[in-house]
Amino acid sequence: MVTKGKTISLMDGENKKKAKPSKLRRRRDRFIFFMLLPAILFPLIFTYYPMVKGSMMAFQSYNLMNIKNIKWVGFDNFKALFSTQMGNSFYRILGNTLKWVLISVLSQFVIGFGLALLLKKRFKGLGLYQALIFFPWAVSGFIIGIMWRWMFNGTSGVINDILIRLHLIKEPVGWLADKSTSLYSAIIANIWYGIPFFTIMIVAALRGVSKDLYEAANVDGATSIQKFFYITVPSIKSVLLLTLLLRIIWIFNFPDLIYSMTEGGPADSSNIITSYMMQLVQSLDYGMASAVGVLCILFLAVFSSIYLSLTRYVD
Amino acid sequence: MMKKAYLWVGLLATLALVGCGANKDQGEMKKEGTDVVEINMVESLTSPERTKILEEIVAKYEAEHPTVNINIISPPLENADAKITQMLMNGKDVDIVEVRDSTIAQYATNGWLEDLDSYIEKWDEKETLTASAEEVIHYLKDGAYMLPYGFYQRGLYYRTDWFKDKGLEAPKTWEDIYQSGMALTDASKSQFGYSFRGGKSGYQYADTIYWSWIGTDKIESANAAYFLKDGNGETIFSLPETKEALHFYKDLFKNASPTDSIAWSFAEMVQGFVGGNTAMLIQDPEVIAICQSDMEEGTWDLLPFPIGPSGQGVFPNGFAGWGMTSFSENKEVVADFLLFLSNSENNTYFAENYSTIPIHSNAGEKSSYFSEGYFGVYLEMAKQPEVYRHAAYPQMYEAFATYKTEVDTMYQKYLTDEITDDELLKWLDDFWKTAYETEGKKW
Repeated sequence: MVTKGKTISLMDGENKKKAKPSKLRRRRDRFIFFMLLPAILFPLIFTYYPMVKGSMMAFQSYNLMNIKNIKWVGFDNFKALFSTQMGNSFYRILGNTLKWVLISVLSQFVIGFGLALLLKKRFKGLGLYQALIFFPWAVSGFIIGIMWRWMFNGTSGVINDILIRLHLIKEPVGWLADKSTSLYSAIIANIWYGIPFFTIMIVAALRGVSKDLYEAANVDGATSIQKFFYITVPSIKSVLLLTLLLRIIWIFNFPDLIYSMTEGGPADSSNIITSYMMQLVQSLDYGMASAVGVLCILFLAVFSSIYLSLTRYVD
Repeated sequence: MMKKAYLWVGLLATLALVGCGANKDQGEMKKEGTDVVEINMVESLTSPERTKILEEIVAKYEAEHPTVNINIISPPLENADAKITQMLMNGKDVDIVEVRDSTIAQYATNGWLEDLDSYIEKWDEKETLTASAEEVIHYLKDGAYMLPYGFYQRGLYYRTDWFKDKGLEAPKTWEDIYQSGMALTDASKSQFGYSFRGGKSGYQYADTIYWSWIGTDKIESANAAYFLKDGNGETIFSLPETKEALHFYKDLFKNASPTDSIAWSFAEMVQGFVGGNTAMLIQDPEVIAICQSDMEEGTWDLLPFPIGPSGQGVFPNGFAGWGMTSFSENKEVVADFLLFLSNSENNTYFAENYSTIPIHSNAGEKSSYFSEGYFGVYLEMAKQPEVYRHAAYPQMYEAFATYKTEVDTMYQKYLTDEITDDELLKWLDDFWKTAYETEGKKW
């Protein structure tokens, strides 16, 4: 497909050099331009204009406490974020973000892939089973967060109750109140929430893999592990890479759970960069919040390009 | 609690739909006659019960003034203040706005509120306003930017049955809370002495302890009680009493409160008390209704605010009220309605049904609700102004918005031994000294 397209465009280019642009051709070009215009204008007006406008706030002292006193401050907001003054938790928040994304995505991916392999074969009751698996994905992140917040509650939570009954712990643990467990509790909720996405996408991809390949492998006497690594994975590689990229971006941009479970606390131990941004918005300091937003865009842009070039998906 | 909030939002949406329909009909009926004045009123601390009370008072006013049509707009509670900020930034279509102690400085600084002084001056009911009401009408020194509808003052809720079982006296001082709290704490039974608040707005509880240790005589203004009298920007955080009080605060957390209360805010601390995990709780009068519906009569009671070593019990005079927008096109009508809404009869009715402390001193005569029963505690405290004092954090500073988001984290770091007492107090002292230097004296 790709090579065909290339040839056509090459031929087109050669034609261009030879023939003089006729009146008819100019009119056709203009027509194409006008047809394309909405596709260019809409993103410009509704995506890029607000984004640029919002990013400009990052370089302003923009506090809703006093909108009469908005002024340009250069990189001051960024300097404040990265300052090493006592009380600044931004480096801790960056570390938390890394843990939040990596642990969540990898666990979701592995468990989601496993479930997808189980769902590949058709069996009785598959529809119901699928519906049950996909259910969490249909619920809002905030509601999931509130649900898990009460489950992890240190005095009346069901998780402590179960663990005590199983004699795994003696006294109730304040999961969300302890600095060493708060982030991981939120990650567990996030893993639970995100598995269905991988399952849905990978099941769809698996069903598209030709059975002939497996039959041929059987004839050659390949083991199941060999079949998995030499047929299954390469066949659905593009889906795997794309879903991983999408999920990394989404989880990075997913403060809902953190916000409704711990609000980033205690002492920023579970704060990630996007929930921190929400706190800044609440404090009415739009300048600082926007600076964090600009950093998020930069991180994701750099990450995506490195990821895509490393995995050579662009090829 | 959160479930309840969602239910409320749902109910509210339905109510809003029904309400819109009804208002439209009324509006159309009136339009046949003379010109109708449309007034938009936006509330912040929305609940379906409260909106209903407001609607009743509005209906009464509309019956007396057929040419006025008042629409109540109720954004969902969760982010109401952010929504209201956006509406006010638009600069139109809002005539009356609910102003809170946490938002008044922002709204007034941005020029969104009208000075109500001239209207209040001419008001025939201004004589019966309580001292608390007078105090907050002029919260900002350059004008009267709102008319309060009520106050949220704190009292001490405690489990009478637990205290009786252990043979303990009802707590009067902070020290009593600590001692009886330790005696009642038994972690293995998930039973603790005190409903500690370490989550959102937990700093407010540390502040009341500081003030009860220091006493208000050393403080320059009750509305900016971080600054010392004649201190020229010096703060309470440099006093030895504050350090002592901070240690007490930590001990109360470590020895008499649940470990996970470091993350507790309103919902959890009330749930802890009502659900039978904690023996004592310091909260606003709105919790009375929750205790009445969820706890057995005779197992709990409400006591005056605890007293500190200074001999005083100091707490913020939390307030909220109604303001007129500076861009309202019907200022006379709006003022007339605001005075009607705040008159002794309507305000007492509102306060009784919404559990706030009323703004008129004759409320006790209008309704026995405020002189008898649980609410009597507040009357009791009002009779001893030399013991029970008001003090609040300097919310009129622009820096307060930043402070509010950062300070709870700092306290959490202190409570979990990540930073020392000196480091925390230095951070607080530096923050407010800088704010004073940048913004000047604002009270």
